[in-house]
Amino acid sequence: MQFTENLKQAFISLSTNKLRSILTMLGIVMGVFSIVAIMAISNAAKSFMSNEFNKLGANTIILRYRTNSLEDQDLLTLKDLDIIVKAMDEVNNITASRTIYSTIKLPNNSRDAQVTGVTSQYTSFQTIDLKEGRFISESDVQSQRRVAVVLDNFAKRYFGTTDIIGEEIKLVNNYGDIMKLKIVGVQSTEGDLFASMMDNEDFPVNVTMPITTSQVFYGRTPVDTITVSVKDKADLKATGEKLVKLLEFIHKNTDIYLATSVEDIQKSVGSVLNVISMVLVVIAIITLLVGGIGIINILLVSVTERIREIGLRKALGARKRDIIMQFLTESIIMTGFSGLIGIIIGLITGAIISSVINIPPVVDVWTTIIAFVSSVVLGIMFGVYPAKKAADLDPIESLRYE
Amino acid sequence: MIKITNLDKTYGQGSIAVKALKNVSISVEEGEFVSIMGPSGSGKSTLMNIIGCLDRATYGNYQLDDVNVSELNDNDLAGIRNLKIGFVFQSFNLLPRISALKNVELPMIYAGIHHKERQRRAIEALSRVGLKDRMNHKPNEMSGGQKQRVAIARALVNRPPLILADEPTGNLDSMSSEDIMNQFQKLNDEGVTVLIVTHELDIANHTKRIITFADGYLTSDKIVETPLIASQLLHEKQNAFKESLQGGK
Repeated sequence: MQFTENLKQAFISLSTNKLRSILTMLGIVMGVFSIVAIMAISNAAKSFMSNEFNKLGANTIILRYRTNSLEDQDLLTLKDLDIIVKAMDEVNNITASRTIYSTIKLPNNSRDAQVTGVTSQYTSFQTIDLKEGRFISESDVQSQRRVAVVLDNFAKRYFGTTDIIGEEIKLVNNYGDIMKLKIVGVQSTEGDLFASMMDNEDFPVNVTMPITTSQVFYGRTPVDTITVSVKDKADLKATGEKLVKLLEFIHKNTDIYLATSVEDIQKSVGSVLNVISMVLVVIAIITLLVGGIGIINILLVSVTERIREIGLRKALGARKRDIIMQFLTESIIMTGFSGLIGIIIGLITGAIISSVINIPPVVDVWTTIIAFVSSVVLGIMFGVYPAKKAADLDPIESLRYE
Repeated sequence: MIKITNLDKTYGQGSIAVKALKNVSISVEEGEFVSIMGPSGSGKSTLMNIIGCLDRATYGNYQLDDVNVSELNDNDLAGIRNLKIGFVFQSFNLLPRISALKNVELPMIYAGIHHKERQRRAIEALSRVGLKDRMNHKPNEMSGGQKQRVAIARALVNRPPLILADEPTGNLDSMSSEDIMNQFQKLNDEGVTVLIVTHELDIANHTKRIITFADGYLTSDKIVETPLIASQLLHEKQNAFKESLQGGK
């Protein structure tokens, strides 16, 4: 029997029970849809992450404390930076920063503030787009100037404009001292997912100032992170170990410092993302299988309903193969169509979600092709048993069946 | 055409075995018009299924057109049913969702005939049974007699040399029955071998030969001297019907 005839007959029989066919297909649509959407979103998230990390620079090593119980001699200082630069050829650039949680006094109330003290080299490691003014400069650091950079959403909220260069903000430290800082720069948060999420009274205000100013005002822990970029050819792991050894030598201690490369962080974040998307995909596959059981079920019902028809077809000269193909075609049409619809809805959903959370959508052609092909393959798998059952019916019994 | 020798058919095994046919031998020549009669359980339907290649004999030999059917596999049997045999059933067995035309095309689909040729031949077959103007109607839009005529068109569309009809008039009134017998007689006049199973002597008397079964045995095989001529009877019945309508006024 010709293939086109099979298709026509399958369409006729599926359209006879339109609602039933559509409901059955829904299961497969859901399964394929979830797989495609999950893959699209997780791919988008991955590409977003790697973009962010690339901004940071792949050959960057971050040095931090391994523990919180620190002696005074263990504390990192700005002097360490000079020693590292002098001692190690591999080092390309270096910056230090410290983050303090403190309070900012505003005209009507006070809010928590996340105050980051930085050296002027900070901008080489972190992309900072300035909307107004300038970033912390070397001379700001040298002279411990009372200057600060704030975010544009903060400026808009409290000053109504981003053009607030020269305005003052007041920070309060643990002893209740107040320091006035002159705003020299306003940082842009456009397109920054996290910044827009944290533009909220519940999150601390972001303030950046010279690290030296921060040390004077807040005391203790002069530096909590040293970020080093190494020359292209240097081995990140070896350089990291060397940096830790050097710091241990300077401070005469062991097991206090930890070197992490951006690559390491990227890998661990990537593997977390992978685990999450794998779990979701497994759930989607289960959905697909449940949908497939629905198809088997409906085809079995269809076989039972059409026992006389099958008997008649056999009497008229249909071979087993013809009957099998008839039911397989129905199954494949159902899953194939469901696959297509699922892919389309999945891609649309992926695009919508990506645009909502500001991540560019990534369409993986292979995922799409595999999703379609596997839905057709599932059609064959789910169709085989009912089709075989139909083909094995005895023609005489079937013709007599009431 | 049909040559059956010492045929046995047993259903089941051991103590529950039922012998449906016992040592049956028949031969039917090309162009014959034969009716098979007998009470239910006499084995006539079993014989029909075996002749129709829907079932196999337990023992014995069956030759159709000089082909030993007993030795063929399932696929070959399907081919024989498709090309050599046309089936007509008591309950018509038309597919309800498709038109008369598509129903008639069905056997040709399995014969691998091309779409256009299929349509041409289906229309031709429907014209022969006088239903050309109803070819796009679905079975539920037709009367019983018309349905059975579609079924006959379907049976003859692959031009098989043998037509098997199992109680073809069982679900029809007497006028429609006459019409169907008329169709069979016309086909037989054109040289097609026709075999019908019936329990009505009236119907059997339209055929040229009556074979009777009882309890699995062939009990009689006789020639009908003067078969009833359906076209005449149909004409008379139609006139009587018209008169009764007028008389009623």
